[in-house]
Amino acid sequence: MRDFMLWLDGNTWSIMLRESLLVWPMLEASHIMTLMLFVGTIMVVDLRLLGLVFKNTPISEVDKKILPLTVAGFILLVITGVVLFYAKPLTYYNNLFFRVKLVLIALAMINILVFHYRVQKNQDEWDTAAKPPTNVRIIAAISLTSWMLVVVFGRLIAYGDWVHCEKLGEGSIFYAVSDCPVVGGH
Amino acid sequence: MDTLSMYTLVVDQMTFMQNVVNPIFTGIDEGAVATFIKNSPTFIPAAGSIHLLALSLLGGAIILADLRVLGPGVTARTPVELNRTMSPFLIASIIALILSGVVLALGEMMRLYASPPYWLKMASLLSAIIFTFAARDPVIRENGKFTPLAWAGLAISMGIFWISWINLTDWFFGARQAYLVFVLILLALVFAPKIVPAGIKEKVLGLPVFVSVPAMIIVLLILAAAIFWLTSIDYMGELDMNGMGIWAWVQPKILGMMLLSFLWGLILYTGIGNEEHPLSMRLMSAISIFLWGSTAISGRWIAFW
Repeated sequence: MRDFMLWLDGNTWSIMLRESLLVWPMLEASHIMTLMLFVGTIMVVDLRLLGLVFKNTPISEVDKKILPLTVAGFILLVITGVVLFYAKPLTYYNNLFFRVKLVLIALAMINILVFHYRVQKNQDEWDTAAKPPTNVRIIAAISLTSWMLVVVFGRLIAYGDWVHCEKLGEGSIFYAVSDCPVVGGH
Repeated sequence: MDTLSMYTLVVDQMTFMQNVVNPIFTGIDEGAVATFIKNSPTFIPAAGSIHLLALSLLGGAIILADLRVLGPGVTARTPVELNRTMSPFLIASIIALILSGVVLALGEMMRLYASPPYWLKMASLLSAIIFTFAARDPVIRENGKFTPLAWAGLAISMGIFWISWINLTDWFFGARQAYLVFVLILLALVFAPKIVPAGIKEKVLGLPVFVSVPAMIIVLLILAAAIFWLTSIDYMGELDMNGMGIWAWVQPKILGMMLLSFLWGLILYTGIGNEEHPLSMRLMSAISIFLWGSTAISGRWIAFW
């Protein structure tokens, strides 16, 4: 996998992207701005499921009107995120914070699937409830926490030096988890 | 204003910055609190994370309250109700943004002193706060009717933002263009009901979703690429558009960029816009989105200056 990242890092388009004075800042700014759309709207949906806002509005109404914006935000985040990764694959690949962020995104996605296929089945029974049942609120709390942690670890990626392969020390669990090279350094 | 008066004004501004603002920034930078924060490995990353979380919450509050007036949102609730519900979140996020922003600023005072995006962010933040609470809130509460306070809030906030924007942005690297694109897209969303012929929106929305959504995304992406290409007119200052003064505004690429941005907004309107609220209310919500969005854009711009 690391060899593939090395190849990607030397790819002409990847080099052009990271050296671009206009495209790279625009992509990064778009990634951050889209965060306002995605996390901002998912926070509102989760707060409704927790019974903290829009208590008199049916959950299905909040879902129907806000989730398309959330989905649009997520698609844009993924697209800009993939292109940003493509521009600096080696910087991100060994970054422990980036890896934790990906794990948290995976957990949040699993949480969405559990909500959609298990919890949401009897939504008619609690759709208009000011305070939804406990299992719904647990799912909402997991969602809110995981997306907030995704934002935090996303920010920490910039401090990758803290968890640089050279600092982790060969043989440590974090060294292995970061898939650092056998002989230290990026 | 003649050239001599303009020159005098610029010199006065520079003297004020050097004699008054610089010593304040230097004093804070050399003070105990800033030194402690700069030496701490955790304060800045923690403040940066809180800043980003607060920005997300602010985004949610603005999208729910203002995008609802222009287009998509929880239509089961009136804009007044939505505004009231989101207001505590908006205020909490502004407080968190300011507090975490102060910590972030203490970590790099002298870099920020010399950063035009930082000053534009401060101007945007001030104008957004004044506008939101003095102009937007009363107008939405009165269902589009302007009160004297709303007029004053609108005039002061617009004055602060646009004077700062003229002083602090230029045509290099698409810096000035980015704000123009943003404002024209929002203006198109506001005025679209008066421009887009009746029936077109119904026709677009009447198409099967698997046709209308991909088609709209493709058209918007092509237009976005064209707009992006046009913004790079004076990428490295090769045309010296900053020296052209008012004539820079009528450069074909700039006119094309503005026209396509407006068209982008009109097309977006046919997909997600609505016209159920008075023009004044729509304008106020668009300005709110613009000012808070500009604060965020300027904040990101600091990193690249």
